[in-house]
Amino acid sequence: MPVWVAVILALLSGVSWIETRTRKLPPVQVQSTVGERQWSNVIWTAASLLAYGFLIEILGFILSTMFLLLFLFRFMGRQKWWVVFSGSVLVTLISHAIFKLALKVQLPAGLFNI
Amino acid sequence: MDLWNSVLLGFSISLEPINLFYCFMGVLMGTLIGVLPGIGPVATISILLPATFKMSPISGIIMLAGIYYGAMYGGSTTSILVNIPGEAASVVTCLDGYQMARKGRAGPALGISAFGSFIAGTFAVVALTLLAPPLAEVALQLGPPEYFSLVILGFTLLAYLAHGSMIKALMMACIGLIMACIGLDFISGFERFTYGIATLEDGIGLVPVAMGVFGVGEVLINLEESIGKREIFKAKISNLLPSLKDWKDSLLPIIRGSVLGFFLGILPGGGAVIASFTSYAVEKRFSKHPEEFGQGAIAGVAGPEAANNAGAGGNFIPLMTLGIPANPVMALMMGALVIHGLQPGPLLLSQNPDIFWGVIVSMYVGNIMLLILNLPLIGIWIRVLRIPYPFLFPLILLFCLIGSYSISNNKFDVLIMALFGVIGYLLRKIRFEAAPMLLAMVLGPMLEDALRQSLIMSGGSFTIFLVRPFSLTFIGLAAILMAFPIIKWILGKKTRLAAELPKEDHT
Repeated sequence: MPVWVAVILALLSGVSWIETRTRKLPPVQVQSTVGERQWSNVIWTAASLLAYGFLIEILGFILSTMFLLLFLFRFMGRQKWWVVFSGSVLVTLISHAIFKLALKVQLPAGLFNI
Repeated sequence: MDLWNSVLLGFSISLEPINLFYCFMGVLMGTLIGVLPGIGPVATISILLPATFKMSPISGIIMLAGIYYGAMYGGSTTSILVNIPGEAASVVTCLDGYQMARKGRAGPALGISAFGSFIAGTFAVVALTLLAPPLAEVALQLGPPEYFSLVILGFTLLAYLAHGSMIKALMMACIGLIMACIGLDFISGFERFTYGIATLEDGIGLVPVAMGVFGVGEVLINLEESIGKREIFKAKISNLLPSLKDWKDSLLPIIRGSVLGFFLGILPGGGAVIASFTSYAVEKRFSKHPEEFGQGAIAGVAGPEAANNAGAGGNFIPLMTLGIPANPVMALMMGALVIHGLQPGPLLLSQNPDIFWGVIVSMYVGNIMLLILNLPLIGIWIRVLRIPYPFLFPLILLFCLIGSYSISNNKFDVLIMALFGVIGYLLRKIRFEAAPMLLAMVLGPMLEDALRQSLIMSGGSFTIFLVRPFSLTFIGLAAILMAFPIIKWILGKKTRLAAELPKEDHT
């Protein structure tokens, strides 16, 4: 079945390509992918999520979450430092309490076992 | 068991304190995420799915359902006050709702959308109660060939109703089908597309993909657009109760919206978003003063708000009777049922009447809770809106991360989620809809099973799909739908459904 689906997909993309070529109307305005906007935010945030995925089992939930939040609050959210610190510590502890203690979700303890 | 007893059974289950509590939690969270732009029901349900593992199945499903219809209520608040849709189904509410707010009529706008939602929600649940059992009877007669044709018809409808290009929607569905093939082949046991990666043997989970595309993707889009610029309507909101004239103007739209929304909700790919757009177009056409639309016409708020709530109810029909989810939210609900060892579909009604009726009746209860939550607590929701986005988005991301990790305590799910977050972001940039992909991922195994079983039944002949009456009807309908745009294109008329609807500016 994957083969057939792939064939259909190829046909459709062909049709789509022809359609955009022959359409008299201007095609839908596509926002520029790399524009004057803060697209670096997007890359950094996505990268931080990937890093979190790699680190969570090594550092454990509490440490990796705290680092992630520090990064996001400070560099993406551009908060003041005291907000950054208190925010990330509080959120980490509260989420740990809710998910691990109350909902009994298994979160990794990591190498340091915290 | 007759209908009356069934409904009583449903009440006895949904009124148990624990279920009442989860229903309340569900609608409360639903309203909250409905109010907050940047996180929708799909992401929330996927985040909370692992948390329901420890609950009884019925409580879990009741809570997840509550999130969905609660979000439909909450979304309108943001649309009206901030001119940003809280979630996709409230896009059209911005048009007239925000105009009403600017004219100092935010109160009646909020009021009518809450009442309209309540009326429509109740209508949808009643219709669901009456329609689901006979439909489930019919569905029991369907064999693999019929299911195959039905799913094909579903995909076609999905593509036909899609906002953007039909071809793009079909392409996304194909990609979803290919993604569904990843993992072990159920019949032969071969590994497909795993490239020797052990995690991929189980296939790609729906939940991390849904969370990535709808949760992370949305956050990334918002991050790119400058952070934290949001104007909240500051004037004091008084007089939530609509006047007699408001009621006169909106009663018919609410009724039309309810019926329309419910039936559109049954269609695959339909659901709340399409329902609200269509209702707006219909009301504009029916109205004696179409020029008022866009200037703060109350009918333009009442109709679509009713329609999106009724649509949310209608969505449950294909899931509960056929076992076919109509949209990503329902796909997740299906996942939740399966995780608890329940098979959604025609047998659910006879094998687990407690689940079936408990969930349906909990929606009556939930609708009443929502009315109570929404009208007096509107002030709290406005305060929620003031939470700055720079503070909000790390929390959304964190919840997505915890949610994806806790599905199977596997860091690969986190990586898959992050990856699909980027994919979701890019898809939005190039105007591809993610919903068909997600649905195809869920329906893929079902489609493949049905196809192979049918071919085994027929000894390898494809004519089996054309000789059975139900199957032929479905295939025929699908063919007509496919041919429609081509015929129109040949006739040179560019009047697709989308062309008549207001342009989507906010997504």
